[in-house]
Amino acid sequence: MKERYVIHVTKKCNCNCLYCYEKDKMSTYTWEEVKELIDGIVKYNKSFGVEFLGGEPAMAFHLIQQSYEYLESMNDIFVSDYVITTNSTILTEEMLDFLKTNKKVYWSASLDGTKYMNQLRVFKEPSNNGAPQNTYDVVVDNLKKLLYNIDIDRIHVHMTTHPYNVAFIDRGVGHLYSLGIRHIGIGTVESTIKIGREYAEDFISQLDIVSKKIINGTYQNLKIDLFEWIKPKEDKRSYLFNSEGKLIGESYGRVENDIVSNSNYKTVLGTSPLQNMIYEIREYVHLRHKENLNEKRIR
Amino acid sequence: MINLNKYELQFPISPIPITSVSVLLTEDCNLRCTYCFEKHNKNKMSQQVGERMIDFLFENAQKGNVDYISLTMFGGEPMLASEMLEYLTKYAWQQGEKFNKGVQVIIITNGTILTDQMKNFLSYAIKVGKPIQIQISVDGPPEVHDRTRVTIDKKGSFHMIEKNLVKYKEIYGELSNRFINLHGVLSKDNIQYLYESYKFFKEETRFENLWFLPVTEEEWTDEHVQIYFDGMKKIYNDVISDCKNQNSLAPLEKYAPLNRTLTENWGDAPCGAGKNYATITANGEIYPCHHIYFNDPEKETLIGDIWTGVSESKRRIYSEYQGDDLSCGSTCEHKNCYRCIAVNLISNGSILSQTKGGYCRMMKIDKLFQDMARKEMERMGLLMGSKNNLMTKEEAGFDCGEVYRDYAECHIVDIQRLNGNSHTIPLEKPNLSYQENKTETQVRDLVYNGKSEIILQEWEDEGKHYCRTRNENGEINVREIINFNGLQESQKKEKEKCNAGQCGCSIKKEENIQLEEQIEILSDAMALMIRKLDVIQNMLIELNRGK
Repeated sequence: MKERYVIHVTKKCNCNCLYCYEKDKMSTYTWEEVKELIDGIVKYNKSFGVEFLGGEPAMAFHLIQQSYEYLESMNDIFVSDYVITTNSTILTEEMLDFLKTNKKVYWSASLDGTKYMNQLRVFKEPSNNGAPQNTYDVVVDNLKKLLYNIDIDRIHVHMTTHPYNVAFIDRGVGHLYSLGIRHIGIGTVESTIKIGREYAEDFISQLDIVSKKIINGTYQNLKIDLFEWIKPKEDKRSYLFNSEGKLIGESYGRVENDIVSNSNYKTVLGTSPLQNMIYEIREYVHLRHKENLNEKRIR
Repeated sequence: MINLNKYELQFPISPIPITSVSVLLTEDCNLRCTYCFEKHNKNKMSQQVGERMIDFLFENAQKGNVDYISLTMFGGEPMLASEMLEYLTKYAWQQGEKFNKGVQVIIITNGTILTDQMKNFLSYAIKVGKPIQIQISVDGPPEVHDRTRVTIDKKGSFHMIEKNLVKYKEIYGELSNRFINLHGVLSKDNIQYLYESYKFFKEETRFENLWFLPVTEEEWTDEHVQIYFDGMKKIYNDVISDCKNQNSLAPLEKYAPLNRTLTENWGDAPCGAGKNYATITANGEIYPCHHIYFNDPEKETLIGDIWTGVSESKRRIYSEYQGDDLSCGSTCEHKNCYRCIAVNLISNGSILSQTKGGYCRMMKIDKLFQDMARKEMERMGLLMGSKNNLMTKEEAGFDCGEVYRDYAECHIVDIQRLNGNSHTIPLEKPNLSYQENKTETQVRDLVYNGKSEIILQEWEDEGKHYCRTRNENGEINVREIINFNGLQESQKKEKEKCNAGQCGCSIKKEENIQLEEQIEILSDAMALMIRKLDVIQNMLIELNRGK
């Protein structure tokens, strides 16, 4: 399976989501730091995918552009796709133009479903009334702009689920579908909010409803990530730190001989106390969807 | 099939049961108050739904080992469904006996409708020893009330209530002041009449239990906050002088929000919505509260119904959140104010995103007066040995004049904090003599909260030094000057005393505060013991005499 490299472009963010796991919310990156990582990656690997992460990567959009142009200028390197993992609250004309022109760039917006489900995603700066506002309205405006301007397949929405919105997954999916979104990723909060059996039960039953609605045509052409594909259990998320201890990038550990094993970066394997449970329920949902599809075929 | 039993349950197996509800007997109403958030559907709760609702609540009470259920008859205007109200109350009494649980019934009415049937029923309830609590919404005297509380034809409604207030008094007699309260809603249209309305209720209608609460979703400006402060100050003075005259806490108990003076702990979350409290609609649906329900046409906040019960997953955000989870929660001294998660959800998209601004400052004014009242009651010996977080003037953003001196900080203190032109500042004492600064070179400045301010004027009053300043933003403030360069000898001593924690101001060192509190508690206890000894001694004397 093809490797994906995560490139960090800033740790700053304009949001203050209640379940944010990020501890470093300050660091910024220079082009030299990013270039050094890219050079390290291409030294060993010629074909891969790229993901830009933050903080909020849109706050360092110039680094995204530079990285893209730098990688695309290399004749012997093939980057299958560039994904910008963003809270989707910042979308300038310049960014929109870049996305319009460069068809390999994908927009992956974080939005937890309906506004009600998105309650834990709020802006850092309070509005005039002193309250941190739900990001929903701004994100939806930006998604509408994107849907108007770029290919629908390049717009993904990532829904983070947790014990306070998991019972509404089907509602959230339906809502995003009605907005015109056709690619939805379903994630799980891992370390900042505790999850237990109740979460697992709701997750499974809600996604079963979604599966059936896709099969019966309610959600025509909708792609849910974990129905299509499940991240391999063997994936070993590695975090790359530079000599100053600053997180520079990540990989999924899918190739043996690459930057992770060869560079001067310090590598730390990512673990999550709940990863077994999360993997098990995701795998179950994935297989259940296959079963639902088979049942339909038999009938 | 997946086996999830190996994963631990995260939440309590028996979550807090819903035993207290607002009942939407009908959403219909004969008024169209200007600030109302309701939709006025002409639906009505049926007998079947009502009975099931009551059984559902008793079943919950039984499961959760709660002693009683609470029905707040709400709407719309519940008196438009007064026969159902009577029927369901009687049904709840009957089922209460079966389940061996109590029943609390409260009617929230606009006061315009009081049928003979209802009069008879309210009298009957009193006769059988189960008087019903009544809350009547009246905003003030006729000219104030009629600005906001209007009929469908936009006509004032005061005349419709006036005669009913008399009838309620007749029905409840001596019980009036225990079971009836008048609730005024403060909006931009009527806040300037706060004190006038208070006086009117107290003196003209002669009801004692009064509430005036500002509408939470109003966009309150600094000017409104100042008006609220002025009104509250007058009410505070009246209430405290009543307490003094009667040597009793009762006047304080009867006025909300000052009544919070008497409660040490208001619990953690601002309300029980979605926890032990919910709203039941006319067709038996359950929502966290009526305010949320009326703003949710998509029914996203529906958490269950009276037949199948509550979905724990769907109400989890309500059952699990704590007061400190609110965006203002963990740092504010006054986190037990009337915060409203419904307003947060509607205005800010999250029950946890707390609207601050003007409303927040109004709540701080409440807290300020509650703190003052507490101190006053302690001084009078009506409250003893209590500990609560008193707010400093800076936190409140207001000064209350003489009564507040006890809390004055020993450095520079806001006397009056207002935005605007200097001539708009209403000075506490109008007859101050002051000297204008003569030339630029003579201009002094001071540093307040780390920012420098130019002193425009200085004056003295009763041995204290005051100044009027302008900060970098052009805001004019009046401050008391105690310790900065140029202190007189006596003031230097005061400063030293302050630093040593001996001056009685609110920036005393922590350990001194604790020590003083302990001493205070002990001396209160001693005083009580001495009083009791006196009583015992007198009794002994009496006994001896008897012999």
